[in-house]
Amino acid sequence: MKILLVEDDKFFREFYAQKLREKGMEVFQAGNGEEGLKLAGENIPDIILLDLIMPIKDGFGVLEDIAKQEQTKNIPILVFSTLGQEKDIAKAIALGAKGYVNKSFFDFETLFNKIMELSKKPV
Amino acid sequence: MSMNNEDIIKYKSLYLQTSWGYLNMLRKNIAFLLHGRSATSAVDSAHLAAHSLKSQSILMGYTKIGELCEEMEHIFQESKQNSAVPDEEILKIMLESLKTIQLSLTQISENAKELDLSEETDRLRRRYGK
Repeated sequence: MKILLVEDDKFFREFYAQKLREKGMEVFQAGNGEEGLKLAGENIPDIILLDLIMPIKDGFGVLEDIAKQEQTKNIPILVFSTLGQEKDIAKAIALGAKGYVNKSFFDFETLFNKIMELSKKPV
Repeated sequence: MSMNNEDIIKYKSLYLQTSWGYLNMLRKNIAFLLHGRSATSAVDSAHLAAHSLKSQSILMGYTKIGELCEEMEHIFQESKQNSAVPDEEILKIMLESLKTIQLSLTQISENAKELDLSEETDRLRRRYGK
């Protein structure tokens, strides 16, 4: 299972990448939206975990660009949200995100189940 | 649900490292706005820093820092939406609040509990009136 983690916050990126690797997943990391788009095109992950508020290119821009490209448009995207982002989540879903998880409330089982459900691939 | 104790110990150093960075980013951009220099990028950067510091603090279980930063994030979010800068008094309260966040981070780095920042959060909330 290949996962692309697009998150500008180094703390979250390293924490979640480590947790996913411990479960046998292959994790690629990008620190901003542009880097994320590049890695998505090069590696075609099974799923993308996407932060919304990022510098350079935010998560909304990534959702729009992913949908435009033939090789990436079918990759499921799970949004990494936090408290108080209800409007952002709704906007992300409208742009094609398949779901969201609150990254500030670590619950690996929920995250893992959502990844499995969306990617429909074994680890 | 925040991290378990083992993860808190493991990731505390990275948390503190990134938190100091966000604190400095907030301080720099609020001071910039306070000196009457209006720039969209300063509001954007302050919003991003408040958002990031809030999110990672809550995950680590430092909810008082998280709540104070959430208030700041909310104020900067509205500033972004209205293409405006928060007024001078609010910026001053924020700048003062950053000093207590700094003290709290120092406490955390010395293996003590975070400080209770409810007073700062309430002050900002009352002044902002939301």
